[in-house]
Amino acid sequence: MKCKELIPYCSMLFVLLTNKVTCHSQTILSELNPAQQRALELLDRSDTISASPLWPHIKPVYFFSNIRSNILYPGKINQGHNTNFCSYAALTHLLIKYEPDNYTRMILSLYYTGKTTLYSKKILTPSKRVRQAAGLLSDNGELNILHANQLWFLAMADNFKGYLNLFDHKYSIGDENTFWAATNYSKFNKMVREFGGYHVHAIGSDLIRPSRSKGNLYKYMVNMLDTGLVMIYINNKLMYPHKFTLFNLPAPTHFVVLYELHKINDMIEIKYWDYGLKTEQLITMKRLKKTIYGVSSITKR
Amino acid sequence: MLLTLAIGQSCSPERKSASYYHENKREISELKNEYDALYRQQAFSAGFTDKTFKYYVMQIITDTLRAIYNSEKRKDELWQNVLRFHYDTVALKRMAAMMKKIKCLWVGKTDRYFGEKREVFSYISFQSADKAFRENKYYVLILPDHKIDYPEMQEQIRKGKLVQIDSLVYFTTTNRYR
Repeated sequence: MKCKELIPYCSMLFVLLTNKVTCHSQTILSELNPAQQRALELLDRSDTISASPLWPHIKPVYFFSNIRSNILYPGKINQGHNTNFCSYAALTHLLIKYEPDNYTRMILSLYYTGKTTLYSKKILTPSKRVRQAAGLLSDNGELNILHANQLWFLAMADNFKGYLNLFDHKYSIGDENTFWAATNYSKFNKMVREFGGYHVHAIGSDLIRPSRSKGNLYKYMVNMLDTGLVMIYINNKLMYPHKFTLFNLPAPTHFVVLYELHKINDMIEIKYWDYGLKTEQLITMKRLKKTIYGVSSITKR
Repeated sequence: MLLTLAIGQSCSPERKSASYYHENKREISELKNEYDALYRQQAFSAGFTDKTFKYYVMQIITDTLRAIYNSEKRKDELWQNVLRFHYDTVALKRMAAMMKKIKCLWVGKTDRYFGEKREVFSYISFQSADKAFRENKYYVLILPDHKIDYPEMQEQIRKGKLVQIDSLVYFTTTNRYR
């Protein structure tokens, strides 16, 4: 790579490291979309030095650089290792991609005031247990040092409850990997509606797959991709077929954002987002049908 | 991932893993060196998908994409990408042969944060301990490049979640082979 080509990357790195807008970063800012620019302006108007007494273990340096990085690279959001945060990460990925300013307003409000108002007017108020825990998560890979993501995911899990959370309502250390953080399909769709005020059209459930034939499901998903954003609820183990196991529990395990779906001969090429990357792979139509338990489409607000 | 690998650890397979390692010590070391050299060209993980070691999967990871190529369904494209990323094809074939020889199911890298410090480890998984009506279990050898002496690591060893079987080799079991 030539030096000239490196300049934008260096400037971007400089913005991330210094955590402020500089003359150099003006070039970058002009390349961002208006919502990203508004989000960064919000961040630049904030006090990024003082720790919030409401979140005693959140380090401002980690918190604000994490938000800035999320705004600039919404595709890099990662739920971390050993967590049940996939639903929150998938929703956040889309929220930051399309409404970074709204996300920034909400997370800053959570940080400074301990609560925030969602699009639906629901007020998100994380419990003291969660506020004490944010910043202390360990054994979760990079999430350990991504304090904004810790705060955000914990706040989401703490405020949205479904039947899977019935017996584990109160957060304890380590609960990010238990039923406390789990998300059932209806809870997921509710979160999408509440956070962004989106109209969600959902097919499928936690137990029974969408009642469409293989070809119809493929066509349905392609149509939905043409009209809006699509998130799918899948059995993740079936996405990686192998012959080492005798039995796979037929149940959904994971939420991902669907990006592309193409037919190549008798196979389907699928491109979806999870764990901070897009995954591209070929699967059979039969496996596609077997894997998918829910298709949530956002068509309009 | 390291902790995920540690979940489900049990005491009984310790001897099995240690003997597997000692029987294949030279091959495992060569496999790791081969894999590390290829990984430096472009990040990837790879392994087999069937018990006869006929079909393999290569997962190439770029800055934004995780592309999965299966030799059963996508062999031509797999090789196109092997060439596109300038992998040493001879080394790659040697690595695959080595994996097949020692019945290694998967080779990859994982990371773990100790405080603010990120450590990356290579790992290999082998021999499914799958039995009917039992959770799927795989044996995993974790192969750090240098001595890891963090208190968190020692705690895992003390609890028996990780078993050290050589100076730079740890063992655990997991319900995922990749």
